Amino acid sequence: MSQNRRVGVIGAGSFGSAIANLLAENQKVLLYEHNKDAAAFLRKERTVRNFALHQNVEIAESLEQVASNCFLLFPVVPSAYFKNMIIDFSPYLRPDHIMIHATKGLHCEFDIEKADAKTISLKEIKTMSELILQETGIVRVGCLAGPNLALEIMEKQPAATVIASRFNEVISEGQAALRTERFQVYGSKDILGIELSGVLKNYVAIACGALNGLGYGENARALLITRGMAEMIYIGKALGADKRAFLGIAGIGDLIATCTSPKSRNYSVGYRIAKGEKLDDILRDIGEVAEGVRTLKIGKLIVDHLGASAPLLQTIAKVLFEDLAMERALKFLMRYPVSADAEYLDI
Amino acid sequence: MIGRQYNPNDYPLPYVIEDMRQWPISRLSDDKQNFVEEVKSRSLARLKERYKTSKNLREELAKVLYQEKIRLTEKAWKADPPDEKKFWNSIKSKLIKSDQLNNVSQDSEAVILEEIVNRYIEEIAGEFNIGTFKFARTILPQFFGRILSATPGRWLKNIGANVKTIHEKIPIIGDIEKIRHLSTKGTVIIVPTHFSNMDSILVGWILSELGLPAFTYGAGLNLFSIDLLAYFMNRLGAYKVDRRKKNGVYLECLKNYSTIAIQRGAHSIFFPGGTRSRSGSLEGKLKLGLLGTAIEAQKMHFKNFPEETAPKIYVVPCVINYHFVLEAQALISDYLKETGKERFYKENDEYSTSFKLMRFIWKFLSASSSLSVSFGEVMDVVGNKVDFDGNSHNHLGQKINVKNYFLTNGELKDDHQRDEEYTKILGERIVNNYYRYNVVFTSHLVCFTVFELLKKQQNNVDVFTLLRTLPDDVSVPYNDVVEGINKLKERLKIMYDKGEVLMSPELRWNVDKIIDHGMRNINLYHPISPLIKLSNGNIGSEDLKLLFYYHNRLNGYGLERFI
Repeated sequence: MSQNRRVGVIGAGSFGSAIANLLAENQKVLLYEHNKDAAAFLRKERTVRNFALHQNVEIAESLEQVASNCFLLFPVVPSAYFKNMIIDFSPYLRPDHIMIHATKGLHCEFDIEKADAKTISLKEIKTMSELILQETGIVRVGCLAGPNLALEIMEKQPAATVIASRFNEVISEGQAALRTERFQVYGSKDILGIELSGVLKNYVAIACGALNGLGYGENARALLITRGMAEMIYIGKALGADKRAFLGIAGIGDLIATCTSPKSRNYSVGYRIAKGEKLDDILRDIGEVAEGVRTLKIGKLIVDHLGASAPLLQTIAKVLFEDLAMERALKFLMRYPVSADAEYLDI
Repeated sequence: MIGRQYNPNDYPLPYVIEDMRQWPISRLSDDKQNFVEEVKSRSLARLKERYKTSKNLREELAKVLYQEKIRLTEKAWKADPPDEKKFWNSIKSKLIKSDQLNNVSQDSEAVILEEIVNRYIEEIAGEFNIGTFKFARTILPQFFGRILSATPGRWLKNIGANVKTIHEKIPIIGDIEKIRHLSTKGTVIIVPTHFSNMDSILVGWILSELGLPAFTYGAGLNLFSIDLLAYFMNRLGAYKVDRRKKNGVYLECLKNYSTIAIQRGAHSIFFPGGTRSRSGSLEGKLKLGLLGTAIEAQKMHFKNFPEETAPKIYVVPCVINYHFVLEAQALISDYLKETGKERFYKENDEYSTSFKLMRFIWKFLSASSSLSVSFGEVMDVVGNKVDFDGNSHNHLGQKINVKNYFLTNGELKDDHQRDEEYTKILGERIVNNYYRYNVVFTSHLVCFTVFELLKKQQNNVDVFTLLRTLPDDVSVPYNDVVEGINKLKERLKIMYDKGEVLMSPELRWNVDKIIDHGMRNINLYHPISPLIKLSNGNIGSEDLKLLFYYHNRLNGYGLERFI
């Protein structure tokens, strides 16, 4: 373990804590939790959802303490709260900080509940790395994405992730901090592609959960995953990303994990919708944020704004927000004209 | 604190350092031998680091030799030293010998490398001579001033006329006081746009009018073929850049020359476009090699000095605005021939002898109605704004320490790829400044409007089809031009208020006057007019390519959507 390295994690939700535990195998970790009660609980009980925090994890007193003690920072905060967090953090951040976020969501400068797809500007929709660059003096920014279900990481099961950044140094520092015998860390220079892979897969996961909730099996799921990925590539392309990232660990890899696991929050949202529950009730029940629901709203705004067609996204949005019955949605999708197989490789 | 503003009558400003012998460039020149040795040894060290095994090195040397042989046979210049062939033949035979020795003598490649490095650096190195500088400084304003303020043809009679009127003809825009102040605290790098061969002379002269110590800059070796120019450039701190030599060894020497000159405090001019803008557009993509040397020098300062005393390097973008560009015709032809293809531009010798050069300058000055030079924001080497006292502030206004950009976990770290990314960021900020400090002239606006209207009229055909149309076949009703200019004026005013562009004072005039002024200025020089008024009152063009060239100056602002 490296003695003079100390890294910070912001956000002690289940994934933030899982990352903190992973990092703690290689160095000391300062974990910051915004909610004072939750932080006090963590300090006392040192458990998150029945999993013990690693002994190298210390609960931080303040963001300032994290900034002044750690050069490497991992914010793992839901996208809806990310901007407030980063604004609070900003006064303490310097250009020598390296920040690798692990938030699979988008930020909007407008109110997504009231926005009109016609009048929005795509510039007002930002990835988390863009938000970090906009709100802080940090330049060396990266993101972490991959099939990393928090519970499995807490259980110390083997897994891999991708760190993307335009700086080689961000990738190598992230690798040095995270890599263990059970955890592999790949690198990528395409940060936009990796971020969008992580973001867009969420609504496909909701759709997969719904399909399973209707009682359908593996053939249907495989179809949904494959065509879901194709749709992700098209949307990503429209937003300026390269297709390559979608075909890697953070794309298809993460898609398979979230689309096949009842442990995934997004998957369970879809599953319970298909079983007839109401979205509001499900969200209240889950407690934590299901990024997929937010992504779906933003994704629909983007697609409508571009006047593009993304049948899966548009249909699943109707199911969630306009009470379209899942059975009818499925019928519609199955009737949708199909193109050549794997045509997205040529775009 | 905002520095004081100057009036045309204030120029030339007093030198910030009165004793020219104390100027960084004088001190560099006085210590030339040591300086050159330092460049040699660092270049060698870096190259040896890059080509670790003698096999790597031998391959690289063979490549250098191969490219140099091609240069000698296909692209020889008058400025090349007479013993070039002999030198490279001897390198060839040494390389063959070392090849035969194979790995017996590990050092032989290193010796050959040193020989090449020495030759390259001796060629690059320049000098600064106070006497020549003083002479040039007396002559240039006479030259610029006399001709700009005189009626062509009568200029000899005007010797002795008021030189200062020249500054009414060439407004200088920007926070001059800040640049002057910071030039005494650190090293200033001016990065101008590049449209014309006049740029380096003009910028060099303007900087001396600002009272700044002389700047060093890389001048194309081809320009040294002209005896008169070579005489001055050799003594005014210019160093030679040979664009034909693209091999790794040469580029390393050049980079280290610039880095160490900056480290030694020499204020420098970089033309980051690398070569004159062919299309007439503002530079969008910069050549980052030389810019990278500013970052490297700043990093070296942090290595060599304690934090508080490490000298700082300041980058200042500069936009030169002309109503017309003398070489426009040749430049735009180059552009059209080669659009879509990357290629090495053959430097057109619009002037290859001293006589042609004089004629060129004469034409330029006698025809120039006005031009302007605007300086953008003063930045640090990573593109942050710098205040009057030299402190850096990021886009949020937070005060920052530039050293932090080079630290990892508290340690100063060399990381080539990281620095390359910083160079890209700096480049983006410079380009952003080019757009914001570009002064829209009447001629730019009229050309842009007329060309866009022509495009619209031809149902938005692609540019190349439009350019193939016979000029006689197309024209735009005068009233449409008036309407178009009115719309663009409105849009430009909004952009101006947001700080996105600058406007020349004439743009406040009514549209008829704007059109008249713009047309008069653009047609002053070109024998075939880019804009003409037809007998039916319409506006047409005798040379659509030229019109396209001048139209391009306002590319990149999205103005076409507002016509």
